[in-house]
Amino acid sequence: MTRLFKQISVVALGLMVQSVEANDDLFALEFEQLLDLKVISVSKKSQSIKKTAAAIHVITQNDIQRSGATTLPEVLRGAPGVHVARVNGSGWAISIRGFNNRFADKLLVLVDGRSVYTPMFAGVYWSMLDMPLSTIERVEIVRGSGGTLWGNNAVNGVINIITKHTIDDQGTEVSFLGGSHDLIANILHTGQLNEDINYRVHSKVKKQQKFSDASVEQIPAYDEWENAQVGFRLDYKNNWLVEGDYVRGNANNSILDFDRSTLQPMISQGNNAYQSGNLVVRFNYEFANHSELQVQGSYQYLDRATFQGNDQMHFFDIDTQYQFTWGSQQDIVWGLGYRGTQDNLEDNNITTFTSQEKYSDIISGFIQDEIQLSDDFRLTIGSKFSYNDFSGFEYQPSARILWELNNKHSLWSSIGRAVRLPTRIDQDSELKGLTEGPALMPALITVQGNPNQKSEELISLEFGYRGQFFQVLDVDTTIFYNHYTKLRGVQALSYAPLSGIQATFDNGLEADSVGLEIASRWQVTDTWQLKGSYSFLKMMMRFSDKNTIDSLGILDTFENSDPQHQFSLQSNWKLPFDLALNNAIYYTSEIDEHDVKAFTRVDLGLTWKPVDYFEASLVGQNLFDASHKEYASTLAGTLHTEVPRSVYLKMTTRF
Amino acid sequence: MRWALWGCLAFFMSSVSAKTVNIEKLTVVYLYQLSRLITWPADKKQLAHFNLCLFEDDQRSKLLDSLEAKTIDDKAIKINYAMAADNMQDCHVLFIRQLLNEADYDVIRGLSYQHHILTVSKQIGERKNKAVMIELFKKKQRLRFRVNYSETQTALLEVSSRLLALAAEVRHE
Repeated sequence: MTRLFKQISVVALGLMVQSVEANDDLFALEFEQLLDLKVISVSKKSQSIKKTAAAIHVITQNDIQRSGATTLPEVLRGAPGVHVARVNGSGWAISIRGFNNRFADKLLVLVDGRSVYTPMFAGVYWSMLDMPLSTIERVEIVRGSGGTLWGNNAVNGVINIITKHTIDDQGTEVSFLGGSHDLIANILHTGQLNEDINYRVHSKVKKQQKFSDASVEQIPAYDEWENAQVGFRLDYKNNWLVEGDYVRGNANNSILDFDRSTLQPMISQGNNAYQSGNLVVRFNYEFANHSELQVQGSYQYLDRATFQGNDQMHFFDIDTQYQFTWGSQQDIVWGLGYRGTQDNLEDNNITTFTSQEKYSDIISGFIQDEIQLSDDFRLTIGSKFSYNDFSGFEYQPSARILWELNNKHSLWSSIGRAVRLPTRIDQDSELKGLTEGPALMPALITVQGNPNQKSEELISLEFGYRGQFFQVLDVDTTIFYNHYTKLRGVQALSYAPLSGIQATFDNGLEADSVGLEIASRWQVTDTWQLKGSYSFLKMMMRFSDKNTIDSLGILDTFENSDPQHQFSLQSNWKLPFDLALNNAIYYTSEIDEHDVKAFTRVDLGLTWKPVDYFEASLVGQNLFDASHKEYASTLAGTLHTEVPRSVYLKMTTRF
Repeated sequence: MRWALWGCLAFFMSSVSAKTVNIEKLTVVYLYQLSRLITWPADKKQLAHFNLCLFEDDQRSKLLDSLEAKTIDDKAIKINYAMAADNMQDCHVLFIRQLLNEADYDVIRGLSYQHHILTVSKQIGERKNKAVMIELFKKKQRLRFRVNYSETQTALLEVSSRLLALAAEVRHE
């Protein structure tokens, strides 16, 4: 996964506003003294975002601070093409370009190049990514298929969280946040052990009150959340990076269960405890001819003890990449990777596995060539090849072309193929649930995993335009067409009154989706900036076999699980007297299948920073609404709560 | 809460004085110090601001923006992003962060002569922009610079002897 660093750090810095302040101490030095300072190049080759043939959105540290977000998933809210739905206090459903649910499985999430997706359901446990937000340098969101460079789960997009280099922002930061629902304490210290070694240690502890009851469904809220994380990062010159985190938490949870004898639905409540840890080691070496080798190894483990059952997973990753220029016009990067996963998944009321323990691995290689065809045209072609235990050999090619019309306007297009690998749930599980049987009577449904389940496939086509007007207005527009085949469906096999419906997973679904995404930034005055985004998505599902009868209502479940329209507008206004006013409006249209009504969320934040070493923020979120529902699917028994109005005060000191 | 101990880390580890800095930070400081050691012709002195410009470059940088709190020759520094050939006549310094093509190079060279603009660039890998007046480059983990003295002379810019003495190389091409 580390090739992401080459590609995205190269491509996505265009609109990045650097988060680090110039150090006034340096200005006080004589020129002769400056010449003696050792330097580290933190960022690699940077290139304007407008020179990139991909749909990329970058959220900087400044954006994060202004957003008022207290968790990583909330940072993503408002990004074009991204749907962030809060399920309950500690759970989110997040996806790019459709197929959203609590177990969304077509999105790859990386932290400093380390993949955090779980092969159990190919999704992300967002509650385990509750890192101190001030350690993040930027979040890069790449929409569209990213399989060529990143791997098997980057079907609809990649979210890469990049933490700050330890050469930046040295010192200590302490912050306390208290409000109507949250209590959060952050401490981080960044320093220097000697001339070559810089380090950071950090911790974040939080306690969150329960959200609002799901009023329409009459589901009482039971979703309090406690989480603690400690971590470190060590940089040796610019060659070595060692970092690790340990996180543990408790989240209360409600699920929709049912009585096995009466088949009557009932709500079960309990506590989910979890812990997770990881260690990453990365080595970079730049040769004399400016070619570059990068090797990254990582280990992470995940341990969940839920009131339904336990699961543990261990992940081992190693990735290498080598980048070099060939002639004056070609930039080539190739690499090899290995991922091994050892899991132990305990059976519970809803899910049982044919084998509780399994070791699976993925071996992969990729090559990409970026060719400067002329001053105005750049072509990027490449493919990833991999072999895995679930579906065997996979290939994921892509081609991208960029046309720079002039220094302010560019057009780009891409075509690519990506796959979503089958998971343990798809192949090795048995799921039990309650559904509507004949004569509208409740019926037990048993969905059997299918050992022959194949990868889901996507062919995507994108067109994009980026432009700058009057030096103060940036516009970034993308339209896309996605064609999915072999999507996971559920096929009913038989029905008997006692045993209920017997069903199995298959690859019997297909889909087409079209969409439009617009992101814009307008520097209205020197002190006032507006940022907006609009996303449109239309999903059309069907069975591969046109004679299939949709007895389980599957098409609706997938076709209408995403909002068709999303809109956001953020205003950041620097006021006199060291004040700053940050407003945001987020609109999400209705989600038919989940019975989620359209909602508008309004956030308002006032920040006062009278001196460099102190800052206070008063933030109100969801101000115009006592509470609202963002998600309501009962997939795998998930029960939602409603997002309440909240207010908090945060005080930060840096020294 | 019961994990309060996790928050109690030993944060106050001793550290030695900082001698390693982010090259991006140091580059900005160099731009400032270099500019103080150049003298511009009289017509540039009449401008209200000291204009530091970036050629066709819209990557906003808070580091660069921080220079706006400083002055050169009692004039507030103004950072001008994404400057094109038709609006850079008031630039004192043109900072070039990307590789130029031949056409751009010719245009910039002509404008720098005509409008007395100091062109500053940084080496990008092993590639470099030809004949900019001051080029920043990294050598043995230090930030160095070379001065193309002939180019500065043609643009009627007066380079202080101190700056020339500090340069790793002074070219007379």
